[in-house]
Amino acid sequence: MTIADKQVADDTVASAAVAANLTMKDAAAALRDGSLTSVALTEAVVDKATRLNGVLGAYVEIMRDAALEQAAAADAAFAAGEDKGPLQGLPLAIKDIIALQGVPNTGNSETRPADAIEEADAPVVARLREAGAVFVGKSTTSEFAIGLPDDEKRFPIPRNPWDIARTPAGSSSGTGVAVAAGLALGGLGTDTGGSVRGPACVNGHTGLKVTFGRVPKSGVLPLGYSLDSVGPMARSAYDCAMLLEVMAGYDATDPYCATAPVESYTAALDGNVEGLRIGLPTEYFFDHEQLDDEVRKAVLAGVQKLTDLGATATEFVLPNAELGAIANQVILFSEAFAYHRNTLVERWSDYGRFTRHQLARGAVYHGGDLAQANRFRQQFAQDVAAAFADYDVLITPSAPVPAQLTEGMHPSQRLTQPSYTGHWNLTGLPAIAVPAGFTESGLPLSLQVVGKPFAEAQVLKVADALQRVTDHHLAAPPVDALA
Amino acid sequence: MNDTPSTTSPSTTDLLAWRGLAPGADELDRIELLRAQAEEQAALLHGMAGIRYEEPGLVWRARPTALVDGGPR
Repeated sequence: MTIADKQVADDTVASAAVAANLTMKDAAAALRDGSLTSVALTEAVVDKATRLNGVLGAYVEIMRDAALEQAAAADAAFAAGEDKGPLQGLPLAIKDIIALQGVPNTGNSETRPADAIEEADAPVVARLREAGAVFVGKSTTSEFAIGLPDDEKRFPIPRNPWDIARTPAGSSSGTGVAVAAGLALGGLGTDTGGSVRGPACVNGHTGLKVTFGRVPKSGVLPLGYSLDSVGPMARSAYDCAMLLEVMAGYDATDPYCATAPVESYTAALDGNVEGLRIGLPTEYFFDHEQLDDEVRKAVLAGVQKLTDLGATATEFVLPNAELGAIANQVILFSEAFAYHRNTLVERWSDYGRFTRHQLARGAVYHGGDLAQANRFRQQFAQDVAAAFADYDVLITPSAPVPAQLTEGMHPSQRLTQPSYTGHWNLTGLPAIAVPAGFTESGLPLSLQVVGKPFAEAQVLKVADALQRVTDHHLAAPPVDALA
Repeated sequence: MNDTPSTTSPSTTDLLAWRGLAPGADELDRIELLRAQAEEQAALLHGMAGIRYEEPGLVWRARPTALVDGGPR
């Protein structure tokens, strides 16, 4: 190889790496100004995903041929002057509990038939397909969105791209890892107690849990029927807004889907937070003894950035915050057990160890426990509503600690640490995890912005305002040495 | 013969068997840990003083389909 040849090869590798780490917004612009094709972008992403999947375990299945066909169709559409909107030609990851036509929807479970090909897209996927998106593959999930990775089963073990000895969190682990590592530009996750925000938090990108009913859930394997949501995951808040504009809206196939009008979420992102009233819940959230000091400082530094831009921040006490986390878990595990009970009786060992143990927890609660959790839920919703009379958004840490070491993890840890995400599933509110910096050892940190019902535009706007004056969300983990 | 109902909590094996589940003996330790934590959580919820009766329509409701009713915007 001549020096000139080597330079060309190096430039090609560099271009591919850059393309794979583009934001969706920048990639969409590049596709339209002719500096990038969807085929080149998709090839860069798929190649990187293929090269790193053995280590990072982001995908259950990478659909190279189908993705390149979709990318070629997107390029042909551009050439013909046809533009279906900002998602056209962008490579996305779809969590493997969401139906994607032509491939199995495994839920990462051996209780599901491995060869049962989905005949139709889930409505939310159909909307992305109609908008011209490219599907890289089905991304890894905790089994049925509830377990932990289990090396006794046949599914990939997802790893945190910032430190592969640490958890990428769950359950939307694969989409979280893919977005962070440039193995997709964005994608879909689901969130019942924090499963979009957790992976976004520890993998260093943005993830939005939408208002209950904002996005249709039909075609998605359920976890907790009264808590589940499908949400966008991407590098930036702007990218999440691009996705949500396509994902949101009524669909009659989901009985819980809301008819509330869909806003132009990207149009709302003007960077203006002048006069925004931020509530900071102290008790259980900022005051908790198990809240890591680096997390607390990073979140408060983010709040300071917003107040520098004209927002006001006020501490307050949200009553019974600890019980809010507990009630979410009681309802989640009870509803999960209701869905899985018959299969669990017949096929206990086909479930992963951690999954069946978690589901067995749902069998421990009795009817009175669930009734009490739902009574509490109504009261807690009142208390949260009262807080929103005084504040436009609430800000909390997304999680109490940075990504933890995977070795020795057990589901019981979830109960011994505070959790800051389930409250907003319990009350159905939108909440977004936003990168807030890094620990001294280089692990991502994250804050959470919570809004009123259907105020996705508001929480995206706050997250975007923060991302206009910070660049934490653009940092890419050093994954190229892993392959 | 003592006819007083037992107040002893059923074993985890019996409790799960009542639900139709039969975990392996080597799994019981972990499930018992989860059970203890679950029971502690439930006790905290039941121990909460004075859950109020809310007025219908006062706030957005936890009931999913009525989430938008009366909620603050």
